[in-house]
Amino acid sequence: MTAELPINDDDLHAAADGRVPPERQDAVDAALAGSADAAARVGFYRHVNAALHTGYDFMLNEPVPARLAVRPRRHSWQTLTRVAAAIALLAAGGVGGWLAHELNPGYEQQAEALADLAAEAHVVYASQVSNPVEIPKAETDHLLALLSKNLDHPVRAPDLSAIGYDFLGGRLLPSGRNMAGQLMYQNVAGNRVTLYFTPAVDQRDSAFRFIPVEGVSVYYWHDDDFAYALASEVPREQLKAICNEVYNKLNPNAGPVEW
Amino acid sequence: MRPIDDFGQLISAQIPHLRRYAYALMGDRDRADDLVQDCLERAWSRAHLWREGNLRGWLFTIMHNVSVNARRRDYRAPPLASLDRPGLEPSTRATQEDHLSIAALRDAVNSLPREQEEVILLVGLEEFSYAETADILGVPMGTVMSRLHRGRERLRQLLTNQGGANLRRVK
Repeated sequence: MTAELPINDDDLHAAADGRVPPERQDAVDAALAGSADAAARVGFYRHVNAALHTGYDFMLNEPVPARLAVRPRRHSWQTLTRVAAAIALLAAGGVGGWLAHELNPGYEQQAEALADLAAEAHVVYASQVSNPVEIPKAETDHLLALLSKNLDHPVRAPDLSAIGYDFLGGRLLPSGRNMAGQLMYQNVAGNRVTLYFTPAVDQRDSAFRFIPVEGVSVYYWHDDDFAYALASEVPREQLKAICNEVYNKLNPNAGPVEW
Repeated sequence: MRPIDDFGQLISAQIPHLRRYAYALMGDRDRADDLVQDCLERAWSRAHLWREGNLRGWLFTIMHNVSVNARRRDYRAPPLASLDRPGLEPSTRATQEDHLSIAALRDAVNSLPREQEEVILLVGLEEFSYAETADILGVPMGTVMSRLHRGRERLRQLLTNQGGANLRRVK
């Protein structure tokens, strides 16, 4: 029977979506009147559209979460930062580098690459029962001096004891062609969380990004000195709370974290 | 250049639509809002690229691109995702003669290949024209129509089989 229809599949979808071109309207109406099969199909497609609205329109009336209602932070001076960086690089003769950087779309790729490395380092070292860190807490001064020297920025170990995580120590790691630091913490339940960081090369927005990597949850962000990836197997909400604490301890003068 | 606050207001007006679509696509609130957040960040960072025109289409284009990237990574969905469905309680089911259970439809739509799901949601829920949908997805309109057709026919097969109806294969 389908062969007798003077209309095609596209017409049936257009009929369901209210998008039949005016010059086709009569032909489509006639075809639908003459074919129970075609009419049933259009009726079903319309049902699908109506049911989607019934199922999801409530989202239009929900209050927008604060993290979406505000403009990403840093944006207002982002342009200034870029200009300043461009001038600095021009002065240093690094024009090619700057252009390559600007043309590189890779903020996400960079975040994801770091999240991958952090998750890998977390899985490898946080699973070690006896020697999870290379330099233990007892030698914190030595550890931080070593990391600061190799990463070119002052490194601090945030105190997370307020949320039940004790500092275990850390290590210096290779990170691609660069170096990275890893600090490890553990709570009484034995959950371990690692903070992985490399010198920041990108001054764009530093909103927190959640990046799951094969069973490991990672939050990524960066500040002027470092790109950070906080990794753990704990549930996402717990990791978010830990991330808040890390950020607040690293930035004691900053306001509440904007998610 | 457009004052940044105007741009902010225009974007804000679209957030509920972005969230509705993202929720339908991702299946839980957190992941949906992550997607919207990524989309908004990228939109802000590219505000200078936007010219007068269809801001809604532009934002959905960005969201599509972000979701493609996110999908490559997020291959392991949180196991609790399917429980986070507050908007789809039985009380919100369609009434009247509508025989489609919302929950069954949602599961069926989510079971489609993502490219078909996107088209069905962009056309049926967000009510973009076929041409706008093609722009958003970066594919020819013929591709939109064939994805729409395959997706809707698959839904018909999945959902009306439950009622025992015998489907006639349409080309």
